[in-house]
Amino acid sequence: MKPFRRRASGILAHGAQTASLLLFWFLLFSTAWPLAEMLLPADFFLHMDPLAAVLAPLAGREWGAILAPGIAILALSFAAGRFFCGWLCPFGATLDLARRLLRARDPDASKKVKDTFDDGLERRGRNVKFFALAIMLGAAVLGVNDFYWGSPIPLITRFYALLAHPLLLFLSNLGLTLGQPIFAVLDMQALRYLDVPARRFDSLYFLLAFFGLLFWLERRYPRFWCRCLCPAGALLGLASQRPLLRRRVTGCAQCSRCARLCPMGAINPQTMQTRHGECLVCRTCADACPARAITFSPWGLASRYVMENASVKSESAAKLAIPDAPEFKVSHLPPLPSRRAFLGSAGLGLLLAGVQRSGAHSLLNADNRQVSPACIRPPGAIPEPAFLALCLRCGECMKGCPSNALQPAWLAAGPEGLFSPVLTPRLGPCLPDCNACGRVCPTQAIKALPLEEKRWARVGTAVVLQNTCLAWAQGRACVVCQEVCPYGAVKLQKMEGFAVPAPVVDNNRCYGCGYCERHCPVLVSAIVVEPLNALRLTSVSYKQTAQAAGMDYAPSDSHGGKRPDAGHAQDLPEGSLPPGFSE
Amino acid sequence: MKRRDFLKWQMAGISLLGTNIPLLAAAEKTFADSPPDVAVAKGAPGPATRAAVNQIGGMGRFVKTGQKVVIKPNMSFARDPESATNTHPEVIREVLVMCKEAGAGRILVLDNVLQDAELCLSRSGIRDVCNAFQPGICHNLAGASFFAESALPQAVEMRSNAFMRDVLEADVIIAVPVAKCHGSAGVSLSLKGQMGLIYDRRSMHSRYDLGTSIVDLATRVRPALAIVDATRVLTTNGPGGPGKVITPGEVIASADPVAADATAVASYEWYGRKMQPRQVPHLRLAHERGLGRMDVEALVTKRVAA
Repeated sequence: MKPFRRRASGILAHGAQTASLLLFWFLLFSTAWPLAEMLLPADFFLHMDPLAAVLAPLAGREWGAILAPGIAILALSFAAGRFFCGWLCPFGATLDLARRLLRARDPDASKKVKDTFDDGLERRGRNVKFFALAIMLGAAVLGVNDFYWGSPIPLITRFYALLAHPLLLFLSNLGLTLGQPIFAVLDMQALRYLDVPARRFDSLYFLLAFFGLLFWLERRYPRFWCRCLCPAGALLGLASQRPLLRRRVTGCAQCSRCARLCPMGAINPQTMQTRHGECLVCRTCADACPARAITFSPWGLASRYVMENASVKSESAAKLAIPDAPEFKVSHLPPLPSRRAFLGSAGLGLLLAGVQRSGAHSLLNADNRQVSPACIRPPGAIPEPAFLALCLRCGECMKGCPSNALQPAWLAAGPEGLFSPVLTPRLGPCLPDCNACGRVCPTQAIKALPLEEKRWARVGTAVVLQNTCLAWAQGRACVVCQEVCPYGAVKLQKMEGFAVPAPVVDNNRCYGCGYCERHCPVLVSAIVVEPLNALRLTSVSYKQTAQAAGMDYAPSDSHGGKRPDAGHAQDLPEGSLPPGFSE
Repeated sequence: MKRRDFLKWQMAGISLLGTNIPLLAAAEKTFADSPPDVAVAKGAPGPATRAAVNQIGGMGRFVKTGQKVVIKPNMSFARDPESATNTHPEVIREVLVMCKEAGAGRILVLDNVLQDAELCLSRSGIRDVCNAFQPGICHNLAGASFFAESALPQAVEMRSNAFMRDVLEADVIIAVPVAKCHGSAGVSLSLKGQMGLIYDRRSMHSRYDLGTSIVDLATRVRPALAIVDATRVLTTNGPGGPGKVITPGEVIASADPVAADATAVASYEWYGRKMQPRQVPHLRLAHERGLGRMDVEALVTKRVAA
C-alpha cells in the first residue's frame, strides 16, 4: 500500500457528533429543578427522534408539532442519507465512544472487527431492524406504543438520566465522604458540607443488561445496534436508499481499505459498492482511501466512474486488489427485506397490539376502574390509554423530578406500561411548587401545566391504614403525617374510645402529593397514596374541573398559604385538650 | 521598666483600689445576685434576644473563647418567618453576633429539615442571615456520612442513635427554637427541637415513646442555652401550620432548657386555652428525671423590655 497523507474530511462528521453528544449531555444534566430557561428546550434531542416522530402521533392519534424536527430529519434523509445516525444521534455517538474506550486497552482489538459484510449472522441481523420497524408500525396503527423499545433517543436519554447520572453522583459522594476528614483538617468548609443528593431509580438492571450488551458488542461488531436493531435507523435507511448526497467512488484501486474501516460494514469489499441505507455519511472511508477515490458530493467526479454501475468491472477489479486482501463472498442479497417479510412483520405488530390491548391492565382508567393501586401518574398525565401511547419512556420527567419521586415502572402499570413514570411517594413527594415533569415531557403525555393549573392536577388520595397507624392501632401520639402535609389535608380527630387524636384525610383537600407517605415513621408506611380521584384531563382546565368537583387545595407555601378555618381553635371539642397535651 | 517605676505604679494601683472600694462592693453585689433562672425580654426580635441573654449573664457565661458552637434553629418548613413555623432570622443573627462577641471559635447553624431543604433554608430566611454573618456556616445535614453512632448511657428507651458529628464535637449547643404547638408532643420548643440533630428520628415515633425519647435525647445533647423565639407563636395546627399565630413579641432565655420551655408553655395560649407545663409529657418527664425544672412559679423569672 502506498503511503498517503491522511485527510480529514471526517473531522466535520466527528466534530458534529462530538458537539452533539456534549450538547445532549449538557441539556440532560441541566434538566434539574428549578429548570433554567435555556435557548434550547431540555428535551431538544427527543424531538429529533425520527421513529417517535412518526409513530407517536400515529399511536396517540394526535399530531403534535413538537415532534416536527424528527419528521424534518426523516425528510432530509432523502437528500443526505443517514446523516442523523452518523452526525447527530447521541446513541450512536455513545456507541462510538464506548468502542474507543473499550478497544483502547486492547491493541489487537481493531483486528477483531470482522470484515462482516456478508457474515451469516449479520446478513440476517441487518434485516431485524426493518422487521422491528414494521412490527412497531403495525402496533402503532392499533394505537399501541411498542416503539419505546427501539426509539434511540429516548433509550439513550434513559441510559444517561437513570443509570449514568446516578452512578456519577454516587461516585462523587463517595469521594466527598472519603475526603471529609481531609476537608476538615484543611478547613475546606464548602467541600466538607457538600452533600450530593443521591438519585435512585428502578429498573436499572434492564438498562445495565441492555447497554452492557451493546457496549460489549462494540468490540466485535461496531455499531451493532445501528446496523441490526435500530428501527429509527431502519426508517432513515428506507429514506436513504439513493440519497442525493451519497458515497461515490471514482478511480478505485480495489484495496478494500474503506470496506474494512467502515463502522457500519456498508461497503461491499469486493465491488466497493455502497449500501446507502446503511451508510452513516461519516466519511471514514473517504479519509482512509489511499487513492482518494471517494467523494460525498451530490455531483461532480462521480459521473465518470460510479461504482454502483461498475459490477461488470468487478472481475478486473479483483485482479487489481492488493494480494493480502482477504477473500470475500459476494453479496447477492438485496439491501432491504422482501415486501412480503415486511408486510408479515407489520401484521405481526397488529396481532401483538391486539394481545396487548387484551391485557388485564388495559382496563386502566378505561371505565374509571384501575387495576393497580400503585400506578400513580405524574400530575398532568393525560388519560391512561393516550398516556401510554405517547409516553416515550425517555426518563426525562424522572430526571427532572426534584424529589426523585418519579420512577420507571416495572409492572405497576401492567406489562404494557413498562418503564413508564409512576409517582412513588415513599421515595419522595410531589412538590407543590414544581411542574418540571410536564415541562420536560417531549410528547406532552404529561402536560406542561403552569403552576397555577398544576396545583390542581390531583394525582391521588392518601389513605390511612388504620391497622398499622401508630395512632389508630396503638393509641400512640404521632402526627407526622399531619405535620408534613402541605395542603392541610390530614386532620387530627379526637374519637370516642381512642386515647389520642388520630389522623384522618380530608378528601377535598388531599392532592396525593405523598408527603405523608414519605415521612410516616412506620417501617412500611401506614398512610399510602392511591390513585383515587386523580384528575386525568386533556383539554379542560384542571383548576376549574377540580373546583367544580368541590376540591379545595391550597398548598400552604410561604405566601399563598391557606389560613386555617376561622373556627380552628374551636375545632377542639369542649373540655378536651389540645393535641399532644395530657391532663 | 526600672524597679522604682514599677513600685510607683504598684503603689498607684493600690491607692486606686482603695479609693474605689464602693465600686468594688457594687461589683461583688452583682456577682452575688446570681442571674435569674429565666429571662423574658419584649421587643423587636434582635434586641429582645440580646436583652434576654444579657439578663441571664450574657453570652460570655455560655461561650468561652475558641469554643465550637452549634446553633440549632427551627427551619424545617418551607415557610416565611410570619408563619411562625421557623425561628425568626433576626433572632439567629443576634445569637451569631453574640457568640462572635464572646469569642466563639467555629460556629455552625445545623438542622435536618423536614421539607425540601433548599426551600426551607431559603424561605425561612435563616441561610441568608447566616451567610451575611459568615458564609458557609448554615447547613442542612441529611446524608448518613455526616452522622456518627453514639450511645445514650442515661437513656430510658432510646439507647443509641446517630448524631451529627459536628454536634458530638461541639463544646456548646444553643437551642433557638420558635415557640409553636405540636400535634403529638404538645409543643415543639428547645427539647423537641433537638430531634433535628439526629439521623433516625422516625424511631422516636414508632419504636419508642415520643416523650420519653425526647428526654433521652436531652440526656445526650442538652443545650447549654435555650433561647425560645416567642416573637410569634403558632398556637394551633403546629408544627407545620398554617395555624393561628399570636405575636407576643417576646424572647425567652435560660440556661435550663426545661425552664425555658415551661415558661413558654405557661405564658401563651394553646388552641385558645391556658395550659400547664406539666401537661406536656416530655417536660414533665424531663423535670422528673432531673434534667431541668418546669415549676415556673418557683423559678426566678425576670421580665424586661428591650
